[in-house]
Amino acid sequence: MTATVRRRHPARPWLTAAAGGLALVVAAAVWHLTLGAVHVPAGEVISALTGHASTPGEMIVADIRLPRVLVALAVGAALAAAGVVMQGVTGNPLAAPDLLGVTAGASFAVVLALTVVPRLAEVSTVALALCGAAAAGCAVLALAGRSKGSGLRENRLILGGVTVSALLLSLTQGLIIFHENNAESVVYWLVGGVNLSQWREAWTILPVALAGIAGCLAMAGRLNVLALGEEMARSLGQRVALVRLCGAALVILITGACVAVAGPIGFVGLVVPHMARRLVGSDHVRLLPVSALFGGALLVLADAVSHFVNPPNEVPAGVVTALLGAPYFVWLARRDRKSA
Amino acid sequence: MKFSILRPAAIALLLVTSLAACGGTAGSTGSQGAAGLSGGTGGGAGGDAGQCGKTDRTITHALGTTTVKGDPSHVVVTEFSFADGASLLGVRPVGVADDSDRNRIIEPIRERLGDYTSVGLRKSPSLPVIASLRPDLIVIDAKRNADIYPQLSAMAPTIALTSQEGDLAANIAAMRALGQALNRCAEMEKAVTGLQDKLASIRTRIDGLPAKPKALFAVAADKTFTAHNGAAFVPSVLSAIGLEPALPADQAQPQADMGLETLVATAPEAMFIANYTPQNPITAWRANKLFAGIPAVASNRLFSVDPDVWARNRGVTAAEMVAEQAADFLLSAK
Repeated sequence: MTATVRRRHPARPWLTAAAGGLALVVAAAVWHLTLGAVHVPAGEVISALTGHASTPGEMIVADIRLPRVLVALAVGAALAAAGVVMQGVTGNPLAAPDLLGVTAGASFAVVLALTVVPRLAEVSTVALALCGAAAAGCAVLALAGRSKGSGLRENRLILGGVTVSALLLSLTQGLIIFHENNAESVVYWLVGGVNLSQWREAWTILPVALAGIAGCLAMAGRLNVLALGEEMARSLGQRVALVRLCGAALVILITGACVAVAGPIGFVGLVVPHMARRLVGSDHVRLLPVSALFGGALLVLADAVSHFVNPPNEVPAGVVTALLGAPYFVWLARRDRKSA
Repeated sequence: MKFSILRPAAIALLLVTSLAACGGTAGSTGSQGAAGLSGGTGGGAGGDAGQCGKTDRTITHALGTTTVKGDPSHVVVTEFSFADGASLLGVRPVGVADDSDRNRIIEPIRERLGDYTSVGLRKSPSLPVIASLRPDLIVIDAKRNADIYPQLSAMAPTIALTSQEGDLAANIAAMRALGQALNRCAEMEKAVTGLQDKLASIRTRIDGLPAKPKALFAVAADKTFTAHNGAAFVPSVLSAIGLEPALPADQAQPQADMGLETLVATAPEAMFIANYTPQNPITAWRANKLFAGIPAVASNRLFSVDPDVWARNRGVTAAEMVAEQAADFLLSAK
């Protein structure tokens, strides 16, 4: 499979796609840096980026816009890479990283704290979201791993994830309904966005995203073997269950960190791997970096677009990714049906 | 494959409808606010003052006209400002939507109310509880409770008045309509005049300030910072005591979320913040030197205010308290 893929997609289009992705990231970031309530001339944007933040405009770029762009970039790239791994380990093109219960777990933990135990929210909602994400992820792995003999099966992973997510989502809804009093505070944990991100968030997510993407890349070869089918992979000597477990754990870590910093951002992890697969084929060695680039660019663009939805007010980027992602997916599904 | 088409299509549809719904709400709020303003100057609901004294009074309100007979004594209200208004006139509502938390009603109103039955959340009051109280008048919020107006009208005469998302003038107009419904127009007029006199005296109290700061009122909760502009209740109270709103009135959207950059660009000279949660954008922004440069922060005029008084209660008593506290804060920070 890998060989045929390579033949159909020779090296040049792959490099073109990667270069295109990089160019898109840079263009999106530069565009984003020029947007905002305060007009900052391009010259000041550049001088702010080169480390001279002395005028108010330069300070706005350096201290408000740049960290926000970096967080969007890191979260988008990491979620897209996690999406590729998720689809790889489950063998399901509709699997998204938030399917592993992580997002629902993070939202539930924060909403629980904000509504029932306000004292908990004094710590930090980021820490709470991480704990919730980790707990839900572990629950999914435990549910999925409990099949006799055959180890971690892809369907069980998805079923476990869907079950835990549905349970946690309905519990979250229940909390919101019974504590409608405090519902104002929880909206962010249902949509997600990077509009409040500052340097602290950037320094939190950047290393995690880089390490996570590196981890995904390290798995690329094994994911290629797994793509040949479970039987074939086994006969080639792959420990399928272990690969799935590692992949799922990686996805949980990445998504947990992303949701803690930026809330639940949908569609990036689902749509971007599809887009990238159309450009470079299904070889994970190529698919992962290209997906990461496009994922980063997509979230930066979505956050930039959020400036225009309801100016001068801002709309969380999670709304924009869903608005951009949903029609693309409809188009993709219809196109696939035609070609099938 | 069919499923995979349906799901995103359904999600897209859901998103589009929900966005459309959001837009719709904003639009209708705008027209209500505008109607309330004219009501405050004698038109609209306030124009029916002649109804007082009649046994059968036709009350014109946001969702239509309702005939109220006699002097209602079993009144149910779904907003704190209506509980305030009724109790100011000596009518203690038998049922109050208090978000199932008595302490959300500010103390002076709570004391006047005495014992009442909670009818649940202001957003979604319990219909069975309201019915069990056998009310002879129900007063609901024109925006939040519009969907249950038909059911409530079947139980008892129901009037829908402005509270949430209405400015001071709209809330005063609502108080006048409430006065007619309770057949106590003169008492209500006295309460309104009392409020206006009080605001005027507070205005002169802060005349001594070297310069009157442009004020911003916002509600901070976990990950949202919602700024209220001149069309919202608190900024209109503040402008009644001579503090210009840092954000001009936007009738279509009296409250909107704001980021740090917009806040820096708005450059308020005084900030009154109601904190719903201990960790919120303000606590996160404190580390940012641009935040420290905002005139209100640089001049130590960033004040943390009681969310119940400033954000959840509107009406005569809350307006007086907001104005009083704002003046106290500013004079002590001088």
